[in-house]
Amino acid sequence: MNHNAEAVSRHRTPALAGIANVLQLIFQRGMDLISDAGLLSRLAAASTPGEFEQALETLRQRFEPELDDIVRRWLEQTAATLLSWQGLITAVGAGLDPRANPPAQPLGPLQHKRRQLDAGNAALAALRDAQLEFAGQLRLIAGNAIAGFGAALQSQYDRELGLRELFDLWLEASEAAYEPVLHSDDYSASLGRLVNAAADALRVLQRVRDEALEALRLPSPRELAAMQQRMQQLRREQRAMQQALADAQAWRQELTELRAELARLRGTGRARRRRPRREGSRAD
Amino acid sequence: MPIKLDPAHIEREWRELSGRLARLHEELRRQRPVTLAASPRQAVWQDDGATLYRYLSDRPARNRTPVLIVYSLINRPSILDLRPQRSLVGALRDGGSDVYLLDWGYPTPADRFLSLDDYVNGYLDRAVREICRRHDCDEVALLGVCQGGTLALCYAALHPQRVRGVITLVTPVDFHAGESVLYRLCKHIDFDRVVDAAGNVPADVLNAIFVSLKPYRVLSQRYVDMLGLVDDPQAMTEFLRMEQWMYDSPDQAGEAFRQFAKDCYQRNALVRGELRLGDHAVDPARLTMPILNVYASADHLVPPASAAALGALAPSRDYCEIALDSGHLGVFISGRVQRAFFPALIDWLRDHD
Repeated sequence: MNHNAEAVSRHRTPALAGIANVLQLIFQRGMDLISDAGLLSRLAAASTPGEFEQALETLRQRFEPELDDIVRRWLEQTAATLLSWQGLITAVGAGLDPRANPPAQPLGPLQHKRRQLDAGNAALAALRDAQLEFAGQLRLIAGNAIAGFGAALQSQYDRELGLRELFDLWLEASEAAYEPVLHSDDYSASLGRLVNAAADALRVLQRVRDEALEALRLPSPRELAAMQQRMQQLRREQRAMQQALADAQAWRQELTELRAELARLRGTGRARRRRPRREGSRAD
Repeated sequence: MPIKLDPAHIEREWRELSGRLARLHEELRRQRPVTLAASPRQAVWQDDGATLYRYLSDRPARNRTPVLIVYSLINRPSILDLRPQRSLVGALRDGGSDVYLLDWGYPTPADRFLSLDDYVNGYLDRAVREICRRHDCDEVALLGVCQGGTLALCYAALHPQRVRGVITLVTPVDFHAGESVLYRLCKHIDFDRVVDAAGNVPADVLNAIFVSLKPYRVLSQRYVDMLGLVDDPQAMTEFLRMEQWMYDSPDQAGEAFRQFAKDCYQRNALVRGELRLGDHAVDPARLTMPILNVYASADHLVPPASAAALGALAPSRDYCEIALDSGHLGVFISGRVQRAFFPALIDWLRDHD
């Protein structure tokens, strides 16, 4: 688990990049449960459809807290990444308690800080809501995967199953549960809200960071971005000038060649004009 | 009916898997690092992070028209040359073409404001001019791969006088056709907000999106299957090469990513004839040069209908297409698939020289 949590934390935007890891964790925890000796022996011992369904229900019940745990960790991971930013908001808004309800109208520069703090908290709350909504899609996938796995197991009653077969059945059931959700409008809309909320949260916090750095007379990413944009414009202008220069040189070269050709032709013409006279003179 | 599970059998299986895991660990240690990009090549031109490579050959090229490969901005072109037996560039070179590859490099934070216009009318145009200068010719043949095919088509529409012909390989053209899952995922995302917040789009975010299309196969089954390769060093090397390629992803220059996501995926501007690069309108009516369109019939990233839309879009009178029985990556790594279309590429280049 720690390994996977670290994998999630490596991403710079955990709410977005963490999705693949969260899906993988759900799959992995499910496989851990399926290969659990106690549950396996219950499934193997089930001799009636009722007993089999009960064993499957046990799997479902044991999966539920695992799923809660995965979602909780995902939310914590995102919050932990953003916590430092929240701390920054609090620091620059010294005198404001981020957890307190807005007091009486803040005065002076505190008005601006209060607005920042409110915007930051609202963005983080929106992100959390979007994550919880997205987690609903994950629960749907997990629930359908367990149901599909049960059906697949029942269809295999005449084969002896090993670990690899169980893995393959779980893989196929998970994919069969995931594909229709991935292609659904609900998933697309939920993903859109999640990504947009994550971007908004970052933007709010970046603005606070920029202001803090600028207040300390340090270069801020905002200033760097403006400089990068200007640099890019200069690169384009420089390239255009280089191209214009190359074109001009090409024209000049062509002109030189044309002049040389003209001179050669004139020379030939003069020679031709002179030649008859010489011939004439010879003839004379 | 009870299912058949034998604890003794499962324990034996587990012991065997553990043994394989230990051997795998040793093999991985032994094989590191694996090499990609097998064919000899020479960097002949550099422009910021972009590099133009020329693939070297013992024999002079038979075709007069040089071929320029335009790869996607996402991932690296090393997949075109993973090893000699599966090398697209090697096949083209041995088939008689002078082969160039424009490597876009790895965008740095300073490249955040590189636009599609900078890529197509900048780096790509200058690379084409450089090739023409070196060969004293006026035209090149473009071979665009995946998103690189879209960029190649834009270039061909904007500079038809410099393009002898275009080959597109698994290239999205109609971004809304064929139930494109990438379009569906992009549909509700506000890319202005994303790029304004992220600057360059980190490679790991993009990787996560691609992985999330097949998360269980990519993150689990691949590695379980890898245990089966432990006694086959050659297969293990192939696996590691593929693994290295999959996670060798550049960040995406923010502005170019914003435009591609919004204009191509969300607005489908290329097929609507509304795409603009800088001050220039990309007019598909100017795609009159010969075109060979190769796509994969089981492609989960570029649906066949998305690629095949080029046939209706381009007014070229010399348009051919090849539908391969393959997925997206199979085009680059499957010997069976490559045997099916490499000869066709070589013949097409020779016939359109």
